[in-house]
Amino acid sequence: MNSIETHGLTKRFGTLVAVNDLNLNVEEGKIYGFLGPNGAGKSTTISMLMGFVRPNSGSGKVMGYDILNQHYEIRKLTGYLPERPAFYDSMTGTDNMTYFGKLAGVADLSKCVPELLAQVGLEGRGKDKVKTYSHGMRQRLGIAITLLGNPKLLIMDEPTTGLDPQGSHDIREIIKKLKGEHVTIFLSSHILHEVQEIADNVGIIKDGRMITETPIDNFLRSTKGNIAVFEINAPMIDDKFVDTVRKVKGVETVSLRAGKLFLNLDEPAIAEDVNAALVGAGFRVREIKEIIPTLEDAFLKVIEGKKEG
Amino acid sequence: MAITSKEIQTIQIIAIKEFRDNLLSKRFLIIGIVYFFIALLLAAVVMLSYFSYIEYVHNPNSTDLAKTQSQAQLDNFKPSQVIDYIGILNIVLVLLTVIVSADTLSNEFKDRTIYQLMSKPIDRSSIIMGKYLGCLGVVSSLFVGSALLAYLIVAVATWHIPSIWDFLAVIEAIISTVLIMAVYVAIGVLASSLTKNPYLSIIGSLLAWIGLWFASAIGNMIGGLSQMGQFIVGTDTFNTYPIYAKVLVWIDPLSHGIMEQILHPENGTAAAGMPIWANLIFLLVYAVVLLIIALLAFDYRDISV
Repeated sequence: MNSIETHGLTKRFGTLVAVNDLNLNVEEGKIYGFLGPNGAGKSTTISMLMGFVRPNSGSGKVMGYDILNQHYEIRKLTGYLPERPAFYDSMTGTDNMTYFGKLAGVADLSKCVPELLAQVGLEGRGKDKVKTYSHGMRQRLGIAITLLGNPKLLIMDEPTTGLDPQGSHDIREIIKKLKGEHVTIFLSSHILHEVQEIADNVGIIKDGRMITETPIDNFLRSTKGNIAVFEINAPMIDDKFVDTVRKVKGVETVSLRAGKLFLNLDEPAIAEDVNAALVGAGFRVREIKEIIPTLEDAFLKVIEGKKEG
Repeated sequence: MAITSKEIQTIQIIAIKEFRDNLLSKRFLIIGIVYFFIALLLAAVVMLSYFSYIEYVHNPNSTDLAKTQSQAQLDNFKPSQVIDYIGILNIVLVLLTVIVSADTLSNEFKDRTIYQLMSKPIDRSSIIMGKYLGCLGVVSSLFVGSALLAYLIVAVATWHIPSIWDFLAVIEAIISTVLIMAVYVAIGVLASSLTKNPYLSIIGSLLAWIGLWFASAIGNMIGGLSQMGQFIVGTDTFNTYPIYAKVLVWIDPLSHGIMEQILHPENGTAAAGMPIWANLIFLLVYAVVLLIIALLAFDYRDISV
């Protein structure tokens, strides 16, 4: 079952088409990285999913409920972290959480508020007014509020923006833990290495249109033309070594650079055959490792490819 | 469309927060304290005039005419006179009402808290209703508290136990003023639901308030001009106004003169061409209609900051 799915979702602001015929499929229990350049339509899409903005056409469901007229049910099951979350500054962190918790119908707030504050690293600061909080602390408070009521789906817009490395790490750990609890996470982020670390699937949107939506491993591999790139490190690489590698079925190209051998393989499993052939021929091999492109490389390639197209 | 207990609870939570936020806001504290002390000052004026009548009556140097007139004032004295005086401050009260309510929603947009609020399982109508009741509650508390305290002070200081009719008149006057505020809070909430700029919504509400005052002034002027050269029997000239002039007067809640109608029935039983009950129902319907427009405006707008 999909936690989020949309069909032909379109939103226009005057003559500007912010989201254009968008189809989205977010699998239950997975982390979905929703990527795109600034102004691509990510926030507008999230706003439509949450019922803040009405689509001009198309349809969609979140947790099985219609995004056009079942906002109440959707919000009961969904935690939403806005980009740059805002609070009532004259109230304390605890009071903000209690207020939003009451509105969300969360029971036993006196127990769960301190627990959540501790979970996001704000223990001991709950009684301070939010106006005294740093940007990172506000972000942490936003996440704590998002987690009120044990949501089954989290929609997070740039959750680690402005956090220090430790803060970002903590949030990633929270997200991974939630995934372990079978919570679906829809993550819009510009910090691509973070998405690469935690996401199962990615969707890339540009000019309001979905360019690609796929498991992240496939996406990274697809940018290399579905070829697995490997690097071999050995004490001695001579012509015979290279010939042995070249003869293995599925090895497309071989090149020697800076004392290391780089191979393009039809599929990653062929690396095992290469290793067996080299060992069988009496060569010593220190290391064979796959070179995985970064999400940033792949993202830029797709975005620029579309630009050229 | 039935309201569920969850919606009532949501409205209550939002209303309490709105009430508390307004109560602790600088603008409410400043205008509210000034209003409260002027109300007490007016109570002192009523007491002083009462005691001066007593002095005139008992002073051997007073003329017979002064004694007679002063005795008549004492005979007709009712503690509810202080409510009549406090009615002078209605313009301040309405100004405070408009200022308090006009940015109730637009501030949520400006501060971006609207996203947190809207992401919770609550209806937009509950947000509007909660904010409406919170704003109405805080300005009503100020008025009701000031009026009842002033009434009590005057009654005790002048040693006048109010008659049941005097007390009922005070309650009626308070209800009518709260209903007038209900209309102005609805105007403020409506303006607030139309824009995400709090300054614009406050200016819009103030312009609406001024516009309504002008409308009633023009209505009365047209009504007055239409009566020129006519022989009119009785004191209630409003009924002879052309209908459009009546409408212009009706749309300004302050120009109905309901408090005058309640506290001075001897001056006529109709205000703005209507008996008291009709005026009260008119104000209630007026507030409800404006509130429904605000609900629809907020319900159909996109939430984006």
